[in-house]
Amino acid sequence: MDLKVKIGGQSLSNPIGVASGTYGYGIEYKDYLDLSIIGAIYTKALTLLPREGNAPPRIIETPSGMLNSIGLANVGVDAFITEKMPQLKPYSCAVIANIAGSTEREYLQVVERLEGCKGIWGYEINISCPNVSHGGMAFGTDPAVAEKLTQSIRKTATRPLIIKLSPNVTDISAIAKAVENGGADAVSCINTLVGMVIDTSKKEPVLANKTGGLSGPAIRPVGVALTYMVKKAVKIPVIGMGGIMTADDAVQYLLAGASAIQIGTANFVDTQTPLKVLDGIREYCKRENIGKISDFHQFIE
Amino acid sequence: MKQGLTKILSNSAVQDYFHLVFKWDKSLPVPQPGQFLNLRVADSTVPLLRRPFAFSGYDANKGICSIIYQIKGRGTQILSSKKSDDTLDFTGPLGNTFLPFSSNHHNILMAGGVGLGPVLFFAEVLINRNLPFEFIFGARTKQLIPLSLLKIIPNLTLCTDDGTEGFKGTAVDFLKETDKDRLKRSTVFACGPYAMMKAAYQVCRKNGSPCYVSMEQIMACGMGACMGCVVEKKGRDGKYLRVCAEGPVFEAGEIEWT
Ligand SMILES: Cc1cc2nc3c(=O)[nH]c(=O)nc-3n(C[C@H](O)[C@H](O)[C@H](O)COP(=O)(O)OP(=O)(O)OC[C@H]3O[C@@H](n4cnc5c(N)ncnc54)[C@H](O)[C@@H]3O)c2cc1C
Ligand SMILES: Cc1cc2nc3c(=O)[nH]c(=O)nc-3n(C[C@H](O)[C@H](O)[C@H](O)COP(=O)(O)O)c2cc1C
Ligand code: FES
Repeated sequence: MDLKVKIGGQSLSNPIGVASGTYGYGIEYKDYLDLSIIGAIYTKALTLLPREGNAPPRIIETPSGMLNSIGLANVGVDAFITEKMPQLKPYSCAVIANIAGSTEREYLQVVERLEGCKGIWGYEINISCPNVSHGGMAFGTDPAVAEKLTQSIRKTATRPLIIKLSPNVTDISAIAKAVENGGADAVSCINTLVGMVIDTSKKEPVLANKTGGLSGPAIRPVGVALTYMVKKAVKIPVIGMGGIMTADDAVQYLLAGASAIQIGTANFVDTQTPLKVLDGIREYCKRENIGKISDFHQFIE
Repeated sequence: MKQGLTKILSNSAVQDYFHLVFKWDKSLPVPQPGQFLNLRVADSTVPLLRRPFAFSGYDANKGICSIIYQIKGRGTQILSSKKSDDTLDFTGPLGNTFLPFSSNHHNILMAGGVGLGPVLFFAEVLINRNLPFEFIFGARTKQLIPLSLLKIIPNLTLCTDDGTEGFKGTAVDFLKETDKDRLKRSTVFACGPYAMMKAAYQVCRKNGSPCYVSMEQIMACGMGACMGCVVEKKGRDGKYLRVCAEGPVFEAGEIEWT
């Protein structure tokens, strides 16, 4: 059985990723799990300058899910390169930098700086953050804008380029096609869905930012459906996520057309999830006689 | 820091609270007062996230730990239904601690309601080290005082809002009446409702006494990864501190109190 995943001429050792924003810079989890077993760690969104993020409260639990309005709080790309990357060196997992910006120029400046940093496997461009007014969501909702941004980054990026899609659009396939045309090596989906919880005794939203992004098992059927639709629309690999808690959940995404998956919210609930999902996928492959990732894609039309 | 399973030894109601005692194997990191656990209360997706609770005690010889909690919502409701021999799914010990502290200062420990846990653990450590301290516990009314949990405390002052037990007024009202010179030579450690900790800080600031508080915020990861659990940092310049990573214990002057 060969669980390698090929994206943009490079390969990942296995299809398990840990989703941006749920895994810090990877090292936060090093006492809990051998990071080397993970196929890819997607960093917290990196911006050109450090960001403090939104006012609290930033989190609230919802039925089988949670809302967050972190607001892209991160150390900034320079501190990531000098302080965080060296700590990831002992681990063989791929490090994929998740990147956010409020202008095309800012995205490009972040990519330029990362190009000079050894050990980064590739980039995941966040054009879909629902939590900041210029968090890139505008880039993710208009196909022409998304295509142009992808083209510009493509010119600078020598590493695999993944564009992360928003579910908060009317036609996700159109955006997926546009970024494929722009030169993306893969697309990942989905980012969080916009949601709100209101405290009825205070008569105000629980989150200081009012709305937040919904993640966790509650969004899994949405993620599976959109992965399926995106896979139909493009030829490049699709990386699926949204609510994966178990190997069976991950297999749903692979059957829907994903070549790799990411685990997000589940890391908060059980730090062993990446390991359990990887083991479970291996068992499934053995049982179902699946030899490689693309074999998953033959079943569902 | 670890994720693991342990065994519940007892989970008993004490007045308005529950006292949960569980095994803490010697191979596990030694918990410090102020540190907390993140507990998964059910193997389901509702509730989904772990729930944070401060350690309220640790007995190295017996290999046991405890927490004191109150029923708030679904998660703590489920926790309260656990029985001895049930499994407890935890990550921890997480966060920082009240230690180290200056032992040539007089220590005043203050707890309000369910903020009792971490302060009680701190008192236990001070007792073991033969260090003197004063302990002030505040509750609304006599019925809400968990006397059986407080029996280890030598210098205990009880305060009730309605005066049904001990001093009539809040724990901070009592602090205000402490001899000013003594207060100046004291360090205050407080855990309780936000308003109580804020008021305690104001009294301390007026007297130039150091004040440490243990803060709460809604958490997801509990280990510094998600940036979810922040409180505003002093300065009104939009900077934040993570309760799970920089805290939960803060020097009260670091916080922008609202
Ligand atoms: C560092 C720390 C230490 C704590 N120590 C104790 C303790 O020793 N004893 C105790 O009784 N309680 C303690 N709490 C509060 C405890 O975590 C909450 O009461 C509990 O999470 C409520 O869960 P629920 O499902 O019953 O309530 P719900 O209101 O249904 O919970 C909904 C969501 O909000 C979160 N939440 C609700 N209230 C709080 C709160 N006050 N602080 C943080 N998150 C909250 C929950 O974790 C959950 O994610 C502590 C909190 C923190 C941050
Ligand atoms: C607390 C939190 C922070 C997140 N931050 C980011 C981020 O910085 N960049 C990004 O592209 N996605 C971010 N996401 C979205 C996740 O990467 C993922 O797309 C989403 O949570 C769905 O997966 P899940 O249901 O497994 O969590 C964040 C999600 C959560 C819960
Ligand atoms: S709870 Fe995730 S950073 Fe504190």
